Amino acid sequence: MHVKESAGTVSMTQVQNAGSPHLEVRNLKTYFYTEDGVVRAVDGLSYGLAKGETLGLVGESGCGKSVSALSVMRLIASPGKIVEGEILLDGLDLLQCSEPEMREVRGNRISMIFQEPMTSLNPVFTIGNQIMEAIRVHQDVSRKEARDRTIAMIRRVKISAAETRVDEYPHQMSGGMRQRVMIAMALACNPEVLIADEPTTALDVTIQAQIMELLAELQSDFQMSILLITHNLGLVAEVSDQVAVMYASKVVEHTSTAELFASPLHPYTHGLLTSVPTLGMPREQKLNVIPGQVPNPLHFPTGCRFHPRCPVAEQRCKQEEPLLREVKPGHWAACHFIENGKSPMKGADR
Amino acid sequence: MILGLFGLFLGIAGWHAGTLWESLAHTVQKLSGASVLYTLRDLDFLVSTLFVLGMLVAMGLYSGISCRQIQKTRSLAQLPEGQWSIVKRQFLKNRLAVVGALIILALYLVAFLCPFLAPYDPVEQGDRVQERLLLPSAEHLLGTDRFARDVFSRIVYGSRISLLVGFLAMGLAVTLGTAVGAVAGYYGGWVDSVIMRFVDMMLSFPSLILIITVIALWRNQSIWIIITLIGLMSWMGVARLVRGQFMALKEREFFQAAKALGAGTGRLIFRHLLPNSLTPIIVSATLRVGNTILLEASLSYLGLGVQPPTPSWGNIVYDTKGNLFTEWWMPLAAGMAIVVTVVGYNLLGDGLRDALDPRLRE
Repeated sequence: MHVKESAGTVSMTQVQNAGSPHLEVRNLKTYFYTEDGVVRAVDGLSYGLAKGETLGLVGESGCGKSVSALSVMRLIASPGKIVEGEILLDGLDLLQCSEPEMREVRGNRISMIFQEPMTSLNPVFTIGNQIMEAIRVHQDVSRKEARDRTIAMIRRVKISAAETRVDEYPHQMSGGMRQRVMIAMALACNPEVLIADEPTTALDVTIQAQIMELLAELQSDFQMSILLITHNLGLVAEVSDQVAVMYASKVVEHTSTAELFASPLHPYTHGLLTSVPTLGMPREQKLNVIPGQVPNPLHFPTGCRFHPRCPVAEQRCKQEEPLLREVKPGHWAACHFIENGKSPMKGADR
Repeated sequence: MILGLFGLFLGIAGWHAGTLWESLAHTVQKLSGASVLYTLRDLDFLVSTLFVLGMLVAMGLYSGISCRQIQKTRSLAQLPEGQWSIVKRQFLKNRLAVVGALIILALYLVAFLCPFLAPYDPVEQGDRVQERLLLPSAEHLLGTDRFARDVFSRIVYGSRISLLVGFLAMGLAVTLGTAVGAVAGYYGGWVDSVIMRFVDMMLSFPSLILIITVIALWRNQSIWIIITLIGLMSWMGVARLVRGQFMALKEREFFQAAKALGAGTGRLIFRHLLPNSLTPIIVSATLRVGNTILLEASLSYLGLGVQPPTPSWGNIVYDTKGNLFTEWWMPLAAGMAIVVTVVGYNLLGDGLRDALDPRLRE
């Protein structure tokens, strides 16, 4: 595949070593036209997700993770708008689809689960009714059959007593249960891609582990790809095959999970990883802090968006925006100073 | 409660057994002969007869079903409490709300059973000389008016007009308001702006004066026109309410989730937005029934509403206003009927609001 230098992006097809990506996002730009100005929530985002793999999309709050997920589903509401880019699902450009075509894709080929299981279910219908709806939106099946499949699906997400639980209302269930129901709804039509937008943030740690385990199990059963959006680095380390790190509406680093945690190359990724406490670190050692604040998406810094906070920034960084380039085989990063696959940060190799 | 009602209906049925039978036989005879014309009074009796018989049958069926249901729930394990039984329990806890509900229930019974409860025909005029402006007595509970009509019977029949107007005008207003509000709230943007400015404009008209003008221009005072006009003048509040609800619900995650599942516009509105807005719609509808009844009474009092001799509480007050100081109990009784109905609806609405709102539960 070719490299689109002019657009400042790299075709992420190359990122994947194993097969061509199932879902590919190229140079996606989603802007919100607010009264204060244009908020560039996603600004030239590119990533690829291979079939059956899990891609972790990590970044701080407000860096555009969720907006990028909603853009893939084409659920950006006014004043937001997808300005530019391509979203290829098995070669089909979703941005060229009409709204009815898009409805066929949503829930059927790409599904999404959300952060808040407490509010993601309609409070006035039973959970069985809602899972049945998910099936009947896309498939022409009888009520009886839909109900049987619903009960099977509830069993699949490991909720006990599926036959009675199917007639319960969301308010009768715990947060973890509701997230399971959400997963059942999302997977009811056997989607190829599942977008999980912080699926465990609202749950406590033990439930978190159970849900992730369930997702991993269902992933291999259903042969689906998962785009996992999170700010939890531990979670990413555990479950994803590839990681894309986002900063200020762009991907700054993209590589396999093992590689990223072993040798982060971008100064931002490095700062992020060293700011997480690890077990067994000396008690008197202070945690690393990334100085400054996340830039306001209304006014991004010129040049490299990380330069005001970067310890190794130079004059060049203020003027020239670094491209996301392959700095090592299978390792992409956007920084001027990565040479021969070495991080500009001292002691970056861990 | 069910048994009590059952008894009441049995009592009415027994008491009027002769009349019931006569009315049915009358109808059958007329249906076969068809040479004699129906009078309104015949029709009234027929409707009430059918109502009583229907209620008796329905109650028989209901008690059978509920007996089976009780047996079923006993055999099943303890099921978690459903939404509606929680609402029912909360509602029954609120004494005032129960009183309101009973008032409304009683009024509907009265309206359906008019011919059996009213001792006289409400429009029939007695002897203009001997039976005019009689004092209350055992024969005429509230005396007679200046046309020698029994005031008690007129008030009993008047309940029909008030309940009819209240129910139908509110139904029209709620349907219209919900439709308009739903469109504005769902689409938002310029559609919303245009619709809501129109609503603001409608709200700024003094509705009573507008209705009076239209009736005056129309030169026709049929009850249906009055209902339509009242409905057309009172949908704006519902529209605003529904629009606000839709706007708020659109931001909720389950709406996003439904969209992410590929649900279309119809499904989004009728499955996700509307059912979740139903609570405030029901409450506001109940609370507004009182207003429409008052509006009809005001129109009738001004002589622009229901036309005599058809009795309505408003025009009973109007008819008797000349005798205000001598026969004060007549307007007082009609006025009390209006007040009790409106208060009943308001209590019911308040109770429903509290029972349906999960945030107000302890």
